[in-house]
Amino acid sequence: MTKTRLALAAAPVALLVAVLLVVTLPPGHGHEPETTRSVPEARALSDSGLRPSGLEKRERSASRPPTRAETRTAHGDNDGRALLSGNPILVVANAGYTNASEERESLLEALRRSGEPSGEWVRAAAQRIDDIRTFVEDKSLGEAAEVGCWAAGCGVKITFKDTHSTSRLELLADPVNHGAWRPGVVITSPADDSDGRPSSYLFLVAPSDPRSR
Amino acid sequence: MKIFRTCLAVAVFLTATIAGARGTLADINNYWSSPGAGCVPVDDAIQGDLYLVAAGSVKHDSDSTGIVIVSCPISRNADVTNPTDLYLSFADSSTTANNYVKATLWKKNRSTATVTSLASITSDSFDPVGDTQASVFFSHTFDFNLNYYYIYGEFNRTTTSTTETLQGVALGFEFE
Repeated sequence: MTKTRLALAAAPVALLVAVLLVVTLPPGHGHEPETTRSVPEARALSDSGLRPSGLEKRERSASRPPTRAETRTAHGDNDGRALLSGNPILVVANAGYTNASEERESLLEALRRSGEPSGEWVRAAAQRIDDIRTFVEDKSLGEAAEVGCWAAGCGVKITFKDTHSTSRLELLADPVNHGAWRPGVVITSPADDSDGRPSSYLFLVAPSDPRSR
Repeated sequence: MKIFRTCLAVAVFLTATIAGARGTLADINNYWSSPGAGCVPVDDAIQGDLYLVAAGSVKHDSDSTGIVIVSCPISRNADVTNPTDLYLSFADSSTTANNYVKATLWKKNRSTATVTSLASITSDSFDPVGDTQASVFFSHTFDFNLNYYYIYGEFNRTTTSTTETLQGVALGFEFE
């Protein structure tokens, strides 16, 4: 009888010990992948702008996806800094507007109120706008007109000749394959102008570091 | 004594089970993935008979050239933390710039339909290779209440002698 009471008393203690063991175990305990590099080390690989020189295909375990260190990391300049939410255009784009025309006006206002543009990216943006203009004309989609460049980025208005021409909006972000506009591109949904033709505004977001590009 | 042993066994079992589950969760680094064939080709690619589905991948039909675009819808994964890496699995046999496999992550405002690019990766950043995987880091807090998310996959070739294959795309994050 005494042993039974002892056992009954010990059971909750054993459970408590078990729970404490679980709580104090670090996440992933006993499952640390052998080839994992620390995040700072992996990020450093990305930040350098260099990709690993060896382009040979690496053997990987089929049981899990590869780590960053095991994959060839592209675009060292796109390490996440580019999409800092502080850019006024991105602030509007991330604000969760529910009215398209209000969002469009807010995007334009955010662009125009952001100040004078500066930095090497402005020249790259001008080239990209030329790409867009050429693409729109070559594909007979309509016409593209530059709204202007400010500190937050550049704006282009694309007026389409008809609704069918609006079907490949995403292609306008990199129309002649010069590479993605790393800091981000925002394109408003086509809306009819007063003349009945649909138009979209495309915004090339300025990089967080104006010296880039 | 028998009861004590039983309780101890239950405690040990619970410990092993819960600890094992934690370890497994910590190892997950895939948020979402899709083979190329799981994406939806745009009408031009369908009408032009431009592409071929082979073993989950999409590539040009044997006698076709030109741009093939597919759209890959991303679903929410509540079990895994916010992804930070866009993965592209591809094969690109060409050194020519206009022969490529590309993936761009987009978000689309559910109410206004405005689209914003979040990350992009292209095979042209690399030397010609057979099947491989590459990734790019991005920073965005996913909000499926406000946005839809999708990947715009694109591949192009100018001659039939080159191979441009979109094997698949994925979102994930690195082990920590």
